[in-house]
Amino acid sequence: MLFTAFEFVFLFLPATFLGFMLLRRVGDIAGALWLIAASLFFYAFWNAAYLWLLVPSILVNYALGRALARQTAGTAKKLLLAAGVATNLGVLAWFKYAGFLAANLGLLTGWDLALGTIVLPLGISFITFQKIAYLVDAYRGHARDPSFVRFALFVSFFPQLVAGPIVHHAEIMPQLQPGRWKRATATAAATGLSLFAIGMFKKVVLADGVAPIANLAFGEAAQGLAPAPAAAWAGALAYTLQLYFDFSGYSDMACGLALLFGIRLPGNFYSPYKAASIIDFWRRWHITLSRFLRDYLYIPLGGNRRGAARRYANLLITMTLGGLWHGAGWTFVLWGVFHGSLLLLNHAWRGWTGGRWRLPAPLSIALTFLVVLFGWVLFRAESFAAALLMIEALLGLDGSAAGGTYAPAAPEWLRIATLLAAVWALPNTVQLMRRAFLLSNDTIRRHLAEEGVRPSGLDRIGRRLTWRPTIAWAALAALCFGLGLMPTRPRIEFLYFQF
Amino acid sequence: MRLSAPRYLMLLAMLFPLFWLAASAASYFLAVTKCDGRQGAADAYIAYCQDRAYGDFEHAAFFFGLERVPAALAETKVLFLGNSKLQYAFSRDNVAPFFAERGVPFFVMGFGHGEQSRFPQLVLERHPAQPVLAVINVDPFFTDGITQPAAFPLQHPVAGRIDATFKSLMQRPRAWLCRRDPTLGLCAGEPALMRSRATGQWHVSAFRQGAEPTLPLPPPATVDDDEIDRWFTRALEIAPAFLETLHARCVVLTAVPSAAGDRAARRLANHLGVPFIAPEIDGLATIDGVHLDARSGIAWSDAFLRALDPVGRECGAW
Repeated sequence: MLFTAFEFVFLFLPATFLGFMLLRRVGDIAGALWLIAASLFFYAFWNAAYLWLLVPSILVNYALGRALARQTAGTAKKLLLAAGVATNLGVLAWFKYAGFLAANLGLLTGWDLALGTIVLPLGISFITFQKIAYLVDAYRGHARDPSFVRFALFVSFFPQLVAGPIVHHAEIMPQLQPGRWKRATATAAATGLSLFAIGMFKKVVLADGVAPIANLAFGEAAQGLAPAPAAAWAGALAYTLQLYFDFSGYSDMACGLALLFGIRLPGNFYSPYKAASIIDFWRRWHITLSRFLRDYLYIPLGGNRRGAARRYANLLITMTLGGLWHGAGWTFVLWGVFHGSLLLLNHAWRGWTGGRWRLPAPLSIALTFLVVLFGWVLFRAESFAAALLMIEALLGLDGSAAGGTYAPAAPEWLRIATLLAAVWALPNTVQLMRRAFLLSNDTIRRHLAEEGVRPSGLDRIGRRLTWRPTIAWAALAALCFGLGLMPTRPRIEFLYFQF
Repeated sequence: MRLSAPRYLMLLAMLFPLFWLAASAASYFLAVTKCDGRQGAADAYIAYCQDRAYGDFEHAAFFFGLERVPAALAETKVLFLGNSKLQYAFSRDNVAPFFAERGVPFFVMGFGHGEQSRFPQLVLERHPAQPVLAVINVDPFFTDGITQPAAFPLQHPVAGRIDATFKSLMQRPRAWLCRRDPTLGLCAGEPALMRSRATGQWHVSAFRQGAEPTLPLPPPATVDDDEIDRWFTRALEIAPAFLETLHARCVVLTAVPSAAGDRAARRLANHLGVPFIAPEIDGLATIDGVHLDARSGIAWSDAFLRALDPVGRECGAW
């Protein structure tokens, strides 16, 4: 059941919300149990068999977390953590990487290691990272809440279950404490529904609107045809925009939905295509994943504490594994290595110049965008060969492959230009609706601080756009809903569901 | 003007349906105008359009009981069931007069996309029919398959109903306008298959724009005995439940001429002890190697109806 599906909007969400409102009158536990049941139903709607993975994993991780919280420091505690992390990674490895590993091992050795089709349970990558973070937090003594019901809700809460934001135990559990779980107020509902509407518009109208352009260009490359340079540029730009509006739209919807139930989730995007460097980009793109990789991989590897060489190696390892997390394929690995290398170069450049040599902001933003766009070609292409065909076409190089026939028309360029103008000229949803998000996220806090607290440093247009319960905003949110739920628009899965 | 949160929510709740209805109605009207509406009879609706924005409608119309489907099914005395080959054979000008002479309402309930028995069974469960006589085109019909246009309303009951309702409503104003002036710009478009609300027949002549190509009817393909055995075993499991839902006093099996041949249909008819009617006519031709062309459709369905006449009389259908 997609957030954009009629069944979700007109049946599941109203029923869940009404049930929650009624049961919260009985008590927080009753409300939480209702939300857990609704979340499990939401997850099972795709495939009921997935529950056989989700429910035991909640039970096992809760037991491990409690055991870790009780243990005093020592080898036993370390072993317990290692076992917990290994169990979670083992499940992820089996479902996501076993086929990939077997295929590559088979290629190397010539053995027949085919494992057949292993169906990837929805959201397993996100759920695994969330639980690993919980176990590490429990090991560090940061996850002390003994309530199983609150833990089960923290893991299964449907707005963030399938594709994040990847939340910390410490971000959600305090919000669920007796007396602190905010009542579902009219203000929260107004803000949450408006954010949900904006997210739906971003996904259904903007992202899905440019998806066919990307599909045509990348489709030609996947068939071994060399797209025309104009087609390749249109395709790469369209995918760059599609991915952003798709995933940030999903994240906005998730945060808006959570707010309806009195829970705030962290923001996941902060105008990433306004980034002036690749370091800046990773502080703005999929922020909760970047944070996880930093806190639970980069820093444990040593971070920047053991010299420049070790720091760069750690960066490269972190980003390569980050690439692999997105999908079991060499194009994802290469995408991770590409971004790791760019980060390495960016840090090295800053180190050498001491931050004195800076390009003018428009130029550095354009350059960062261009580099990120080339990265997305690796990310989207179905194979190395297809990625190469796209990159050759982007660079205007003539390869030996037969030419594709797709030629983007003026309305397609207009769509791309409109979305580019939107990402560069308009404020993001965190700026527009700051109260809807959990600002525990230091990245976003820093951005907001840099922009000035009052009213988020936006220019005059930005300040006018900031969300308030006004007639104009009600009309805009209703229009976003209306256009997002137009039945003639196909309901396409969110791109990040495949990861 | 700043509002209180409850007022904001009330305004949102009022404006959303307005915007949604307006945007949806406009987009469906636009989708309808992309389909050829110049040749639709007064009682016909667009069952399928080659433009993707409209696409298939007949499956959802039958499933949700739109376009007079429940009434037509309840009234019919002779019900034809099968796929698009059946529709092409019995959507000809000679068919209605045959039943009119006998004063018997008939309905052709075949579906495109190669639909089999599961979907019509679901339709009949929702909108019961009590035909005296049912004619089933066994091609091979009694299988577990279900097509994507049929699966959509099943899997998405809310989205499917909304989509079908808008398609049903928004083609009416366009049909009204185009009946008055078919030269209007919004009446031309991609080929569209119109379907009669009264008889279920397709207006096949309007679907193909320009001259109809003529291709010889291919000879029956060689089918492996094991394959027929496997189908037959499964068909015997499926058929009883289907026939029970059908509530027909008499059942006739047929096999509209095609490369699929009639071995399977004959064997099932023998086993069930029901009549099998499939006249053999020389020189049949198709429009695409699959569906009978106009001349062949009339010739074959004429022969079929002549053979059906005594069966129908014996059964009490007329």
